Amino acid sequence: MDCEQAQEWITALIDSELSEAERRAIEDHLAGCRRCQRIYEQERQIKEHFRLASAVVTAPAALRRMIDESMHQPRGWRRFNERIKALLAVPWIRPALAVALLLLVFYPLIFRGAGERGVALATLTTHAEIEAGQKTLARADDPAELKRKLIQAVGSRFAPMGFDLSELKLHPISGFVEKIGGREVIVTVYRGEGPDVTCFTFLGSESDAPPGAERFFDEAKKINFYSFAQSNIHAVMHREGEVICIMVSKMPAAQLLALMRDRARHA
Amino acid sequence: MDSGIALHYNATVVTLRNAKELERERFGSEIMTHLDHLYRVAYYLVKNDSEAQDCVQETCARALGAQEQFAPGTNLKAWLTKILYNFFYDFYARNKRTVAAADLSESAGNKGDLFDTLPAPSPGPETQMLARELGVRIEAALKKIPDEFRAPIVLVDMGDFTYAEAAEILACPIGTVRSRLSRGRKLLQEILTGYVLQFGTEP
Repeated sequence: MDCEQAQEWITALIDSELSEAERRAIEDHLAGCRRCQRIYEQERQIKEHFRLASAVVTAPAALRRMIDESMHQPRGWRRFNERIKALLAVPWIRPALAVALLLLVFYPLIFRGAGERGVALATLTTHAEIEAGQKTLARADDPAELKRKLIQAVGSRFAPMGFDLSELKLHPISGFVEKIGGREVIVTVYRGEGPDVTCFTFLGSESDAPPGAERFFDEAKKINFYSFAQSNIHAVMHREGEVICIMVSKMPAAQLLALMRDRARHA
Repeated sequence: MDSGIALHYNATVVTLRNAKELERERFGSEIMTHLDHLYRVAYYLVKNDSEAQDCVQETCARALGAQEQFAPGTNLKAWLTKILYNFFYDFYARNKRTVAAADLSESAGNKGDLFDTLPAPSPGPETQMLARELGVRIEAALKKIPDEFRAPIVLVDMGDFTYAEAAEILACPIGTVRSRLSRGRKLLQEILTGYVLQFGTEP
């Protein structure tokens, strides 16, 4: 046996992995080779030191606790976990879940967009229908009586805002209650010389203003006015308490806004 | 009559389930007795604490999930270690570039003849301290040698596995375990030469 061959045998001798005959053979070699004897001694020490050094390495208590707890989870729960894991492993499931989550989060916004924004914009349509004579209007000669009836129609929850537009030669001629976007809206029609003015009142907040509406803050009255339009029909919205008022007319936007700023009450 | 049969059937199912639960509990407890060993092996294989913890957690989860694949009465410690090693190999070792063995020696430049100095045993009061320091150095040295040499050392020297068990865990022939051990210990010796010399000359 030469020294080169002896190296692996030395290793195996240290690990007690030799047969009796092999052990005698390498021991014979070591007895006659001081160099291999030193190698044997050093390798033995390396192993011994390593054993000592590693013996103090133990599993952290937190890890032990975590694994112990996971092992004592009820089987049903563990199965549930496994199923969730398996489900998440399906390639398309994560994007699909992400989209579903987004829809869920933005649902109120989308819903509001479809519903409430519709209230403000729908007033424009309703006004156009009234002006075009597509809505049958019950003539009301007594404004006070009309107001009483309208309040009654909405269960006395709120009152229509009445404006004296006689300067413009406009008078309230009719009124009705319409359900727009799931909400009861009092519609009052002012007619006379010039274009019609329709006033819509309903319970709401300033978030009912359409997204594209232009906001104007009246310093003196401390009121936000929202101006929006569709084709040649203009609208101005403002809030008084919980009541939203939208005035709609074909009169120029600036004129309509000035009118509303003049007539609106102090907040 | 019908409900009687149903009741009896349900009771049997419950009993069977409880037996399975119990078996599982027992298996879990048995795994827990090898936790220090698993952590130690993982710690020296992956080279840091958090990855070692991940390895051990994954190993335990896989072992529990594969309980029926374990033949009772055989070596659970080796079985668990094989699961751990496979996980380590798949996630940490496979894509890693191994360091060329030639660049490993810490004292490559000024290395004397290692074989001329025989480290003497040091039974003095400093032994403990020296052992601790040596532990740190061994750990550092181990981190420098390639996985293929480190794994058999970790398994045999520290895991107390036989060559046959280590070969089974590493999925290689026994002869390979022996030659890699031999080569690995030589590499460690080379890296540790400076320190071993110092250690050896303590009076």
